[in-house]
Amino acid sequence: MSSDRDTTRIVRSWLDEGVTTLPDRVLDQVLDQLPATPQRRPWWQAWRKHLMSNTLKLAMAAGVFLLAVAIGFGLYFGPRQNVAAPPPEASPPEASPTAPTETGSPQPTAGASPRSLRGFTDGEHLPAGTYLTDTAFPLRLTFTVPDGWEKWEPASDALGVLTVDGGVEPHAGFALWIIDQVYRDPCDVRLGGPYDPGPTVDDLAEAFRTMYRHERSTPVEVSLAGHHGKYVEIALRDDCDDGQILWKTSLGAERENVGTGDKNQLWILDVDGTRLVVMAAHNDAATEAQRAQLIQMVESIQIEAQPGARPSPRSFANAPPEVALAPGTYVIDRMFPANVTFTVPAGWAHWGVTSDSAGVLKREGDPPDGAGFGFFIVDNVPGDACRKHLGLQDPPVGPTVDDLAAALVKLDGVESSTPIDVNFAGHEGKYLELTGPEDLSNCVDPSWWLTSDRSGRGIFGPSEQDRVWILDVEGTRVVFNVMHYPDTPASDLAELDSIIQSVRIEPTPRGGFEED
Amino acid sequence: MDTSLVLRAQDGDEEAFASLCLGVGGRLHAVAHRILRDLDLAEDATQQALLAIWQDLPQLRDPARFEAWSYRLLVRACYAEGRRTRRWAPNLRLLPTDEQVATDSLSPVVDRDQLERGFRRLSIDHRAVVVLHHYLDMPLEKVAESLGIPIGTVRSRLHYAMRGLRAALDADARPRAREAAQ
Repeated sequence: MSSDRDTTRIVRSWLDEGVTTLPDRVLDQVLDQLPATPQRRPWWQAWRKHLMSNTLKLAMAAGVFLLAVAIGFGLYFGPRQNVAAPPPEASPPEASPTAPTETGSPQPTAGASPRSLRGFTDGEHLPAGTYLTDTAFPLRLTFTVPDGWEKWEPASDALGVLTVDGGVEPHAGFALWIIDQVYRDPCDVRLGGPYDPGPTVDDLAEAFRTMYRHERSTPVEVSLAGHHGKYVEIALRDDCDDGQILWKTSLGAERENVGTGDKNQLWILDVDGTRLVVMAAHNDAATEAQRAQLIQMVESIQIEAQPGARPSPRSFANAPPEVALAPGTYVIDRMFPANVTFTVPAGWAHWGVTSDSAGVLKREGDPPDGAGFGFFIVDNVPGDACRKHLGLQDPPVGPTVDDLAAALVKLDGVESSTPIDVNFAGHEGKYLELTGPEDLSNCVDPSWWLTSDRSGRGIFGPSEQDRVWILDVEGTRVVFNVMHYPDTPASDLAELDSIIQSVRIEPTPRGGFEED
Repeated sequence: MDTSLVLRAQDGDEEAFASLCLGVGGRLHAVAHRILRDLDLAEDATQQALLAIWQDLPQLRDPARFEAWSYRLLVRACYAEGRRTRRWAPNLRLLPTDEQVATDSLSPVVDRDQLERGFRRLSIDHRAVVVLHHYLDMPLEKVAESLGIPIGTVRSRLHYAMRGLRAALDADARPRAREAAQ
């Protein structure tokens, strides 16, 4: 029997074997993708402190001091208004669209046209006034900003303003979010999420209510700017090791905590089918005036009619693998070299996305009644679907749609239909059907095709039936594949048909995903 | 690790990030290879980890913790890669790999095979602890910090994993001992 010391020595020696350098091509692939891979900026933009000169910091600090004196004077001697947020246990009143009047900040002229938020860059100071969300934000609404706030726009589905005091870590923020995923435990983002809470207002309110380890109120009914929803408060713990993350949008914007006393008031609204979250957040360092201004901004919101509004597709790459997708529309917007959108009902699970493949399965695609669909960039095809270890087709499959269709027809060990011309999702190509072997017991890694990363599309079970669209997407050969078995329920086949109808495929620049 | 590079990369400097990749890429790839036991999967995991590092870098509060933090993202990528390739995109190894076969201190081939089998039976979480501790020589406290798990969990995972590997080696040793006795 080995001693512990022997085992450790042997294991260490064994681990010393193997590669120690990263192939250049892997590094090149990473660097090639950087321009199309936006960085996820934290809510509090701590990075900004590295850009800010000490002179500017001093100037801003002096400005903040003067502003604080002015605000303090106004608060002490001026009239006070009750701008407290609705208590969570009480039914919050209908928020008034009346413009705020407190804090001594310049007020917008009544009746003036709202200013364009699009005209300001992220981090730019906003003059006091009423602003329109005419950016790429999915909803058009206006809100009134007092002086002393700057624009914050980490992604097109998160937009708001932050205090500018100190310029290092803003003490308060007002923001509009289209939240996609929630962290079950913001204190432990690895083990505690993120997960898809579901598409409704109630789903998200429940996700906040059940968030681990933080103080949160019971969600109550609320109405804001003529739209109904839920109101909830969350106070974050101050003793987590890392920066906590509460939620993220489908385009990667995240709400991270800020130090001590981070408190959030959240209005979750259904705006013509889009779930809008209005957030007023501050920490202990925020002044009373800033806290009041937050509520004033919330109260100032006016939401325009959203003609033809529909929810933005969720990011498929952000969905957790092997977990059922919430019903809805998804976009494969990362890694895969085509921008693919599809809509799934309940019961379909994410099965990964790479630079060459993306898959969705029901019942894990297993026989006798599973199903699935996926998108592939096919590199080559085995000579025999049942005996791929005997080698690939020789000569290798050429680059065109016709080349691949011909190769699949030549595939030994399976049945294939005659390829026909097709136009699918606006792209020309070929369509054919494949039926796998009835008996896979003598097969070795049965496979339809390979991708360039030397993985591929395995045949999942006996008599697997596959529909294959081979499409030319502006020079990129994209394969759309739908699979099922003879015993797959008719209801699932109907869902597959619905999914097929929903598929949209667009090319992406530089073979990556589109920038925001 | 040059923290000024980390700071520049946090601000979106792609050249600085490329330098960071050159500095840590080899180690990340080596760790991924030892966790996943497959060169292709390791390349994919390393690539995904580097992109995740780029994306999440602005959220790293302490640049001095870059390296430990990068291992956490790498292990996540390994975990995802291991699950993804389980069924939908089976790893079809048609081509000979460039894996090195050592001929030095680990002389008995059976030990290597038994270790390989025993290691593959471990979860990615357990493998990660073994590799970070026994390959990178990371103290257990640092492993806990890198993976974002309590030190007690690290100890228990390491204990479980090493017990499994020891059992794998002993399983091979027993028949040989019997043969020797005959």
